[in-house]
Amino acid sequence: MVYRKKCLVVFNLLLFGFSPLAGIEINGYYENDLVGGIKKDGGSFWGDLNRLRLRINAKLRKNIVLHFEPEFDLLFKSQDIPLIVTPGLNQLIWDRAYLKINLPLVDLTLGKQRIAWGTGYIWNPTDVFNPFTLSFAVKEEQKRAVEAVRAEFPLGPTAGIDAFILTGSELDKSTKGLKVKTNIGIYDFSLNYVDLGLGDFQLGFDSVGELFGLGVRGEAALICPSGTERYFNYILGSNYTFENGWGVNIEYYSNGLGKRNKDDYDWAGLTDGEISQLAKDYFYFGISKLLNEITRISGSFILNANDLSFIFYPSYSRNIFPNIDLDLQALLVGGTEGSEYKPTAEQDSTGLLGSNLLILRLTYNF
Amino acid sequence: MRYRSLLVILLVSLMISPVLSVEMTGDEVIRKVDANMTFDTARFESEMVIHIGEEVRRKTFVSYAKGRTKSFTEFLSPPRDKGVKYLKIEDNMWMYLPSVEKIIKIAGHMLRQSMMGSDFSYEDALESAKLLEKYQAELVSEEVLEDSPCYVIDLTARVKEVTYYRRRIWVDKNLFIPLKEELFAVSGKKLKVMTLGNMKKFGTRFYPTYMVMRDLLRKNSMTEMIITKVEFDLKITEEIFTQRSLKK
Repeated sequence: MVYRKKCLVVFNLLLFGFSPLAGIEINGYYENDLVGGIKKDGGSFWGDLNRLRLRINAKLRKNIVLHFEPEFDLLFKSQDIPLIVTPGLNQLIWDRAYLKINLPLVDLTLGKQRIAWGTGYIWNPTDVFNPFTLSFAVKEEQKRAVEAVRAEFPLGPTAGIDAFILTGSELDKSTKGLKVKTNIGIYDFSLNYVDLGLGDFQLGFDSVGELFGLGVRGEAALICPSGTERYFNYILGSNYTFENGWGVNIEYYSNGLGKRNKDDYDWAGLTDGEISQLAKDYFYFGISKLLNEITRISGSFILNANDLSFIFYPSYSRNIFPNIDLDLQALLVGGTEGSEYKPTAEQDSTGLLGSNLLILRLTYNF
Repeated sequence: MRYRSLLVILLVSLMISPVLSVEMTGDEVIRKVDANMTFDTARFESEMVIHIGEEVRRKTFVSYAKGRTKSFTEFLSPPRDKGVKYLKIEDNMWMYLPSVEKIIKIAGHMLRQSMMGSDFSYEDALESAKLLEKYQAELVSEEVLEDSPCYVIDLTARVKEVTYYRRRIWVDKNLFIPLKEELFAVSGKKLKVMTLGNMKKFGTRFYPTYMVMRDLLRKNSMTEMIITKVEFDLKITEEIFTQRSLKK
C-alpha cells in the first residue's frame, strides 16, 4: 500500500513535472478468463477473472523514459475457486514502475522492473527472481518484477555488461548481480555472478546457438549458500521446426536440491517459496503449429522424471478480430498420490495443485 | 564481286552471330540480380497485409538496413505487436518483446517459423548471403511473365545449411529484378511462391515495392508486403544495429 502511494506520487511528479515535453503512449490489454476446474477431491470450481493491464510510456526527454504497468485484477463471479488462482485480487498493482535513462556509455533503469536472465524456456537457473515459469501458460509480464537499480554498459553491437542491485534492504543483505555477455559466431554466451546477500552467492553461465541445424541452448548455475553444501542447477534444450511447419521444443532440467524419492520432497520449502521444484530431473516437451496466420495449436508436457507425475497443457489460440485473441486451454495433471503434481491435501495447502483446469480466455489489445 | 560480297557478309555474320545469339549464363543473371538488389544503406516503411480466407490482418513496421548483413525492424502496429523489434547481424537474429523486456535469440530451425504470423519466415527475412554463395545457378528457359520477358533460373543448393534446397526464379530480362520465385524443399515439395511487382526507380536502380508470399503448407493464406516509403544510401548510425537499440 505504501509502495503504491509512493509510486503514485513519483508518477505524478515526474509525469506532470515534465508534461510539456512528455510524449505519452498508453497501450495494454483487457483480459477475461473463464476458468473451470475439478479438484483432486472431485469437487468443482469456477471463476470469471478479469484483468486490465496498462503500459504507460512517457518520454520525458530524448533519452529519459518513465514506464509504468499498473494492473487491476477483478473476480466477477466464482464458486469454490482456490485463492492461489487470484493473488492480488481487487487491488491495483504497480507491477512495473521505472525510470530509464540512456546515457552515452550506460543505460540506467531505476525502479520496479523485470530482470530476465537466462536462455531456458521453462527453467532459468541463472534467473534468481523467476527460476521456474510455465511459460506456455502464463503471460510473460506475469513474471515477478523487482525493485532495483540497474546499469547496462554496451561493449559493442552484441556484447555488454549488465549489473543490478536490489533496493529496499541493507547493502550486505541485498541481492546484487553482474553479467557479461557476448556473441561469437552463431552463439551467444554470458557469464554471471549473483550475490544473494549474507554470504550466499551463485555463479552462472548460459549459451544459445545452433548445432547441426538444431537450435540449442544451455544454462547452468552453481549455487553456493554459506554454511551448507554447494549445488548445481542446469538445463539443456533444443528446438526444431519440421518441413510441415510443426515446431518441437524440448528441455531437460537438473535440480541440484531436488530429491529422487518423493518421500523426501521438501513440501514446506515449496509452500514457503524457498524452492520452486521438488524433484531432481525434469523434462519439458512442446509442439506447436501455426495452422494459418491467425490460428495456432500447441501442446506442452512437463514430466517429473523421478515420480512420473506430469502436467499436460493443450492450447488453441485464434486472433478472432484484429485486436482480439481467443484462447482455449486446459491444464491436466497426472501422477500417483503424493507425487509433485498430484499432492495429497496435507502436502498442498493451496488446494489447487492436482486440479484439472479448463480456461477460456478473451484478450482485447489496445 | 557478288561472291566476294556474299563471302564478306557470311564471314561477318559468322563473326558476329555468337555475339548476337549469346545467352547469359545463370550465374551472370543472378550476379546482376544480386548487384541490383544490394544497397549500402536503406530505410523502409512497410505494411504487411496478411490474408486468411476472407479475413485480413494489417501490420506496419519500419526497417533499417546496411548492406545485406545488418538490419533492424520495429513493428508499429497493431497494438499487440507494437514495440516488437528484430535485429539481424550476419547470420544472427534477435527478437525483443516489450512485454518480456528480454532479448531472445532466434536460432536453429526456429528461423523456419512464421515471422509475426505472416507467410514469411524469420529465415526469409534473415537471408543475407548472395545467392551464388549458396546456390549453383542454371538458366533453364526464357518465358514471358505478365508481359515481361524473363530468364528462368534454377538454383540448386551447394551447401546443406539452406531452408530451400531448390529455387526457381523468373528474372526480368531488362531490369534484372526477380518477378517470381518458387521455393522447394529437398524432397522436391514446393513450399512457397513469391511474386514481386510495382517496380519503382530510385536513382539508377529499379526496386520492387510490392511482394506477395504464399506459404503452400497453409490453406487460403497469403501475405502482401507493401513498401510505402523507401530511402536508399542514407546515413544510418551504426548504433541502430546493436542489441542496445532493441531495448530503447
